Amino acid sequence: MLGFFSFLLAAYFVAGNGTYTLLMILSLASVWLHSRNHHSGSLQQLRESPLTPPATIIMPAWNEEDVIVDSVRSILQTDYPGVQVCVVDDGSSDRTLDRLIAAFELSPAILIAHPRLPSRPVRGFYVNPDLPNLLVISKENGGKPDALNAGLNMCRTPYFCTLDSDCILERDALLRLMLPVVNSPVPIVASGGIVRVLNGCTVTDGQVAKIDLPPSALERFQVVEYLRSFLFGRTGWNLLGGTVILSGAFALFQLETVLQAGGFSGDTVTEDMELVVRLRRWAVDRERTFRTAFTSDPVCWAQCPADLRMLGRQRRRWQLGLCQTLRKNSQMLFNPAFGALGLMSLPFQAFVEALGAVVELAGYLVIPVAACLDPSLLRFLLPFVLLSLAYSGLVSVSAVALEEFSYRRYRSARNLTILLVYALLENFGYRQIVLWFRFEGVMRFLVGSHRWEKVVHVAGGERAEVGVEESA
Amino acid sequence: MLTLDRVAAELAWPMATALFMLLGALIAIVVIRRARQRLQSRRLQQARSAHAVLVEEVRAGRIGYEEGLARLRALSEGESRSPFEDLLMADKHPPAELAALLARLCEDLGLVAGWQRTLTDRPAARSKSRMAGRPAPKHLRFGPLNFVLRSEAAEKLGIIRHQASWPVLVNALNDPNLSVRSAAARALARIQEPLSLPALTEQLEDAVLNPGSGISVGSSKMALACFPLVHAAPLRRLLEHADRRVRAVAADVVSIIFERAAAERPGGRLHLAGLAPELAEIFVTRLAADECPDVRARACDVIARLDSSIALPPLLQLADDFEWYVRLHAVRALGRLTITSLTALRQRLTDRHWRVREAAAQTLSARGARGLEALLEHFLTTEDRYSQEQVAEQIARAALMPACLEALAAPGGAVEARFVARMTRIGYDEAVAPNLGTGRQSRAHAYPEKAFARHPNSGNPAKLPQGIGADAQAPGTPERGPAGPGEPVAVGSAGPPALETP
Repeated sequence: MLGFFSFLLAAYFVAGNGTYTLLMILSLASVWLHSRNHHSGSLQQLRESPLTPPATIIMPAWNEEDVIVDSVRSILQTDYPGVQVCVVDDGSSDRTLDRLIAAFELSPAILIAHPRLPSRPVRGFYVNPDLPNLLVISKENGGKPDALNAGLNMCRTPYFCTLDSDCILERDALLRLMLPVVNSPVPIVASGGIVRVLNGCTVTDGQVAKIDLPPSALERFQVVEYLRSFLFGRTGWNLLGGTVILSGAFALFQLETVLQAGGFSGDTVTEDMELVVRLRRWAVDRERTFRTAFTSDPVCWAQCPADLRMLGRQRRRWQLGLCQTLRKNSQMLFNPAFGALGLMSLPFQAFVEALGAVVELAGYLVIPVAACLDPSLLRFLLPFVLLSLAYSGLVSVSAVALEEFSYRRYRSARNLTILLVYALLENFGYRQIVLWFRFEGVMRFLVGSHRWEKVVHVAGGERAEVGVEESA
Repeated sequence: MLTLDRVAAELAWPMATALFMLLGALIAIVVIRRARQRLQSRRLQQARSAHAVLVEEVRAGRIGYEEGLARLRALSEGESRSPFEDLLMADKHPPAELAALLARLCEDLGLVAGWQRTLTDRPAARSKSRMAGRPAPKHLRFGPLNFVLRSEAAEKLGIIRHQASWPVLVNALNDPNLSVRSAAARALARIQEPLSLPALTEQLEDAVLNPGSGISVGSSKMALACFPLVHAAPLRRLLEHADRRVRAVAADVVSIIFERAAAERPGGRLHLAGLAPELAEIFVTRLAADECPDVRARACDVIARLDSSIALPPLLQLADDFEWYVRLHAVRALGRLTITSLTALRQRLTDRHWRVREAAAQTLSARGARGLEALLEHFLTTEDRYSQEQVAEQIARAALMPACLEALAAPGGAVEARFVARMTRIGYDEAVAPNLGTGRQSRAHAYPEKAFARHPNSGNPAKLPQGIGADAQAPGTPERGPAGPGEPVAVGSAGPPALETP
């Protein structure tokens, strides 16, 4: 029995890491080439051309009084022709709406809505004629997907970009997000960019003025993790045509396609992933061309959890959402009609990312027990453990190396050294902690939980009191 | 006997060892590379300052061209090629004068010849005229990664707007790599050589008819839209194309070209005599009546830039089109004319499609005092609730409520009362109430110099004054007569509003 489990563990290791290796090789080449081949001329043309498609940034917000004004100021400075901004206050119980009204001198306006998607009732609209591209919607609480749908109902541009309220967008990020959409010979339905960790950076006038690493170990591990996830995972899957997720914190979508597909759904806690997968299914059902883009240079800066409690909320939600999305779209698994998404990406998500949390945790329990019961297994188990540590370290260090060879946002030698060290140390504690949170997420899925656990971000050294928001 | 665990045990140790060694090598590469880049960056910084000063001195005439060229050559000795080129082209969007100087310098330094050869897929060998530094790395010179160099070469030729390179760039439009094709199109857009237009129009046609074969429709359109109006005649072929998609896309491009050309002229208008006659004829008579609604819609944007006397008849016709988005474009276009028909715009306030109603309300509100008058008259006379709501929304959104109340103010207040009553009936009482009885000075006369007034802070709206809140319109209530000198704009004239005079 133990031998069988060892075999299972080894098979899981080979399948998972084999896929990671493929993603890594593809991404290394792609990101390096993209950083080399990027031309400012194309951005300038997009910036100046009246043919650049207008876009709306939709920012849902719930109890974000500490950060909302800075975030909106930041996106109003976005360097994009014809950008519209729609902030949706999802029934905040704090002063989010009041702060917006005060900061931007908004007044109530009665606007005619022609909703195409259901959402909770809208309480009011707020505008300032001197800021004609800003609209604030106040509505009853209904959760993030509901808030996004309310924003979609008022969106008039052919494209929209979702942006979390605690994120800061680089000035040309939306231009870079739109570039593959304009340059692609085939229609692009969705385009994603990279999310980087804001913790530790200095923000001035709504923009990141100085990039630095955060002070705590937990946050530094997450910097490495984000690099690995975005530079390898998302890039690689996009190249294979198996994109499952474009970060909900920062992604561009074609409005009409999303409306026809039914908008954002509240039946999972990761509405961004669920939408991308559903869009694919919708396109196949209607025999439409479906292409997504992911480029590694449009940057959105987001805060990552600064303590274990918030990290746990985040990772449990992600894991729960993954499981919910997979269950909802189970008919796509191993279905050749969905191409690489059905044959590779979704099975990988199911058996490696989702179930892998259980397998890996079991491995941590089984291996020591197996070694005690049958010491002869040690000659297999020990090198296996070393192999997995070496491989995991290699993947993390490769992500840092790719960052160094391409964008080099962390310029100082000190920061590079810290990133390399944390890439090596990631597997000694941090990975296991995250594994436990992922396991909890799977367990919550199995018991049918649907709790949206909100992550609180610290602003100005104060921590807001918060509970767990029950989604609608 | 070989068992799986024995095989695994035999393989795992060597693999783990190999991975650890690979890990160490990778860390070493990263660290060494960082150290080298630091040194190189310092050197480049010094070289950048020297280059920039030299180029600026030649440009300003403080040193002669030949002397500047010689000193640049001397500076570039020992530099890698790519950094030297990057230094020369630190400004990716140089003004025309600087671009011309850079083009000459790059020619004399042999860089242009190198880029042209790269684009035609020859190895980047050293030029006979002492080109700077070493050739590009081998892994980029040959094989599938050569597209990076070709793309950069096209981009650089575009930055310096090297006119003579246009044939090479036209050939590059057929490069097997998409990024090279896109870079070539952008470069041609910068150079704006008229002889390259047929090739670009072919690219656009191909992009529409065979998606995925060439560059994207968006890239083609953007490149073509950069050309001036005087060179736009080759687009006629696309405007007369048998495929309606091509006609629609071409009309888009031409509308941008027209808009830019019109903006450069006094009054923002294009005179028909100054246009290629065949182009004007195509838009006014043929595309405005095209079978494809996308084409008709785009034709509105072009026609709007012509003289109002020529543009008005086709636009009035298009404002009655059976497709809503054609009517939408026509309504917006009517708003751009100096002479327009307020009647036609008023009629669109009761259009069956809400986007057209909205556009009509927005267009009228932007027409100044007469447009506001037309809006108010419509609001007070129509029984179409959707239309009333649309007008009310536009008034509220553009903060025109104070101006409206001022315009309606009269002894007895019957008209104002009717306005308030109607607003209340459709739910806009909270938008009206704060503006009643405030004694606010009218800003209606400020149109069109300042279109919007600040909306009052209605955070705590006052209750409606007594007597206002029900429809106070009694049959036979006299409307206010024509305005006298210095009085607010009259509402309720006898007949339909006349054509607005310029």
